[in-house]
Amino acid sequence: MTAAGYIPMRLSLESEAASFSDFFAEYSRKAYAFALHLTGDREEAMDITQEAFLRMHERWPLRDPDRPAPAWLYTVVRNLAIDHLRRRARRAETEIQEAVLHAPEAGPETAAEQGEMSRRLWEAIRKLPAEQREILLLRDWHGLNYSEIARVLGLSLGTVSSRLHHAREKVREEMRGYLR
Amino acid sequence: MTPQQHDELRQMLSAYLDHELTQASEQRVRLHLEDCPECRQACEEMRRLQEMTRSLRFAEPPEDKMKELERSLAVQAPRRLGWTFVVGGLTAWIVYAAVTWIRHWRPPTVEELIAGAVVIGFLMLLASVAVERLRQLPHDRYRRIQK
Repeated sequence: MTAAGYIPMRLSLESEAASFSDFFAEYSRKAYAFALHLTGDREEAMDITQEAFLRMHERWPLRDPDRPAPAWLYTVVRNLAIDHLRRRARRAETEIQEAVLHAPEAGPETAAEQGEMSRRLWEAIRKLPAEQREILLLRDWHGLNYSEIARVLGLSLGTVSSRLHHAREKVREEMRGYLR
Repeated sequence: MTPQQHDELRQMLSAYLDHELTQASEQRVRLHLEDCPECRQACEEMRRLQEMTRSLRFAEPPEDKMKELERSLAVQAPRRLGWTFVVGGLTAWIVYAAVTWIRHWRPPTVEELIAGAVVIGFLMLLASVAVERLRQLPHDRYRRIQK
């Protein structure tokens, strides 16, 4: 899956008239990718995607029309992923932070097919602290704007902007040899 | 320009790329980029990295599982809702029996239990119809038409 045809997810995209099935068609793969970014496990990502849409489907009629559905979806997926990682950490008797940091290893399995540059880029992204990596992917791959990211992660706009900047600087540093 | 001013503008490069700055800040960064080759290069490299990140490919979800999920969404949610009403109804019925017992200092009669079950069942039915109506409301293409 690529972020080709990248469309910033704004309120206008989620018009009131759009049906749940339209929403599912547009965002189910992005939700899966986000769950995969967080957990690094395909089965868990599928379980999370399923549970997230089921929860949203139940509350869809009662939702606040002013609340952007994509941000809502990403919040639900993130909360479910954290629950999964906590359970996994308990099972493996490891710290939650460790589980999060190791998680995306299994992310872009097809990265090898995309050439050395993409592989290096993903390595650089993987090396980022979890809180910076998450913001970088939400912005640059998933296409959320700063206020949507702030909403999903429960952060201020300033924190989102600052973390994203530091993340990009670190990735740039790692990729220096490939950019010049 | 002082090093502090330079650092401040440098910190804004990322938000500049994302068009997340105010008009005044964007103008400041744009002017700075004209004069600072170092920041210009950083900005260009960040833009290239952004494009590369956007084109990263990740594992696709299994198509059959996604289809299955789409189908199950239509079935599972009402089923969950049905269980909620069944559990809610049974709870209400038990509470009704307990209250009757406490009020009259005797166990409720069979007639009272049947009457309670009928009333609670009717209320649950009304509630399920109301919830179903609310559920359908966003998909009702005629809801904006004025009578």
